[in-house]
Amino acid sequence: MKLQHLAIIFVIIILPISMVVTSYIQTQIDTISVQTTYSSKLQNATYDAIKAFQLNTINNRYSSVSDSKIRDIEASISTFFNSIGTKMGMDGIDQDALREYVPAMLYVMYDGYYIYGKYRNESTDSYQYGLKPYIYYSCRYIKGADDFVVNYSLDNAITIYGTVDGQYVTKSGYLINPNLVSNINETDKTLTYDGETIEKEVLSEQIVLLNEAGEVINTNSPVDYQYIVYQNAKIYYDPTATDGMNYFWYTANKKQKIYDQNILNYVQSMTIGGNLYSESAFQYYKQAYEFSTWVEEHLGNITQSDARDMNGDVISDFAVNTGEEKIFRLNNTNNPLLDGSTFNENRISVIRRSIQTNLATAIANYNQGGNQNYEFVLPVFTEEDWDKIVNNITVASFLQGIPIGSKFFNNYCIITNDKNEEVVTEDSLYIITQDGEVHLPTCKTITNSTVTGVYSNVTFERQSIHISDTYEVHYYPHANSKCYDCMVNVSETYDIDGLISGTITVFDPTQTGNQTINMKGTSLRKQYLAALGRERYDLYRTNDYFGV
Amino acid sequence: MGDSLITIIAIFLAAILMFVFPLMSMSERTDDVSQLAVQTATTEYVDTIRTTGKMTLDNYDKYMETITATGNSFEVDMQVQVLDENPGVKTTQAEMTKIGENLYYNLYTSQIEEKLQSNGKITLKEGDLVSVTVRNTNQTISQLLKNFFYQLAGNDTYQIAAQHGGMVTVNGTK
Repeated sequence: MKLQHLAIIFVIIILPISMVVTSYIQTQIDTISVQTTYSSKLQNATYDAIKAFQLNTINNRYSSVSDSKIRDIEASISTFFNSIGTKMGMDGIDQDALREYVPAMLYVMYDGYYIYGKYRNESTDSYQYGLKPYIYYSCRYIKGADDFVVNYSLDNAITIYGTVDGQYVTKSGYLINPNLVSNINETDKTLTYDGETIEKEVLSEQIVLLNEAGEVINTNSPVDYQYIVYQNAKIYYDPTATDGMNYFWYTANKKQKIYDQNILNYVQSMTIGGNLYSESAFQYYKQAYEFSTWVEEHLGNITQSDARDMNGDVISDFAVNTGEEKIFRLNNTNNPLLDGSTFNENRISVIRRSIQTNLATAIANYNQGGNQNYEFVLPVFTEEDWDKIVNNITVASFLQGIPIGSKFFNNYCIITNDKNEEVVTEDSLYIITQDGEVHLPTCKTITNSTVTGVYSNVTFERQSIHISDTYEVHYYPHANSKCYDCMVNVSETYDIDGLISGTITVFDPTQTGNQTINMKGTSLRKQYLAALGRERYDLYRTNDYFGV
Repeated sequence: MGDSLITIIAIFLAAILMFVFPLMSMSERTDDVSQLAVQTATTEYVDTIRTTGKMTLDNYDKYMETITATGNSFEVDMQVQVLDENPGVKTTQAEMTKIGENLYYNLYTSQIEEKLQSNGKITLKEGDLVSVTVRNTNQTISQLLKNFFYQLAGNDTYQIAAQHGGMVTVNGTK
């Protein structure tokens, strides 16, 4: 055979192989590029969803009330589908068709969570989409004759109901280390928490007021008013009111004067020397002290091995095994405000187990009543994902079973939000210093500064008032310039637990290595601890404090 | 005489067909696979930053390791745009009908690398933008072979390139 023939035969053999390999690799490339664009789209849509939730709650003064919250969540879900539908619409998938591929959406709230998905409506005998009932982060403990349930939350608040020491109790409150509280003075409303004096404080913020005709009263700038939170709503103090009605609610951006004598008696008693004082911080620590003392006395011996599932069997699959460590024995090593305490490890384990089991069930049930030939299962979350879920308001979305190239798309996305009116986390307070700048509590540059105010980060967000289609006004309740070391460029911060416990470790470039600073007695720590208590006390909670 | 000329031509043709053609085909596939790996790694790297709010030295090293494992050398351009809302706050204070005009200030590859080396991480906040562009700087085998037939010149001669970017969705402080 001639060489030319050999070459041609070789080409005849190699050419089809090369073509098949090219086409195969091209398919793989297409699949993966579709997969990455879908993942990005899912992520963007989930972000849109949580942003919608944040915007709605910030601009909704009743957002924490359950009905209103459900409305905000439904709006957020519809934002998610709108967003992902629009993004995918370009790829030929319709928004309603996409719903089939979303087996669940998880909304992690303050003391429980919602799962959105398909459920069976018995009355119409069909499957439909909607929010499933709210599930609390609860765990049942049985020890001897004691048989009770503890509802945990994203912070140190718990609710206990069931039989404790032979009595049926329902109690709710915040857990702190009671050994740190001393010198409670009811008349002056002062107490000492870990060396810092917690006392009455003056709070103020800017608002924009409309008159009865719906026009902005002061068009130049928002007006600063002192306020307190009374029964979950803010009462503002206007010392210049000419008719003697100095106190008002801020309803629909208008002044609603207060005539109720009981409320007036209370706010007048809190007005001293022309200033309106809030006692929330004091009340928080006082009630938390009473509650924690009660819990320690009655539940002090409860350990993780007393936890039972719904069948009454011992739960052995907690994420963190704290063994025989006593969950509710509160002291310096088990301070509920700090990460890593036995209480917190158990709180996280309970939340994690509850979400995992219910979400797995919800997604597995999605297979029923569907017509896909794809089996929906809960993906395995990483530790980092769980860390996000158990500490913040979170939205998790799942997108499964979309056929792409040679396989099915299956991904999830978890996005957290730390600016909302659901929960006050340790990081979600902003510090205003004497020079009018606003900082994160963990900013390295303010350890020695004089602090003039600490407020929830939500009040530093822009608020909008819609007056007409062409006229909108915007204002910031606190319009401070943001620190360039911690707020604009967030790198220069330390761990918040240090501020709470009193000793921080910061990297000092002038020294070699880290430097330890004692924060006890500083203006920052005193104001921070007071604000943490006040903002948590003023937060709307379904299970409010039941006296001990 | 005529026969031996044809034989020489035939040997040349055969060599091209039997050696260069398969090699070119395979090397192009290799580049495709590298492209795939680099694209995936870049997207993952950027999305991790976006969902965690943290750019760590560890992640950066892993990313560099993944892309260089394709056997090529790369030029990585990173850009972080840090959102500065301050001018906005001042504007809205003065005039309530105006929405604040935000600014971004930029950090580029060398500054980012310097920060990563000294602090181990860069923390970002919600609203910051991050983008990564990567392209190969060496000549891949397929590029070499192509150059054998036709010469490409200029800056845009890369074969493997990927780009991804987006907004950071969470504060990285916690």
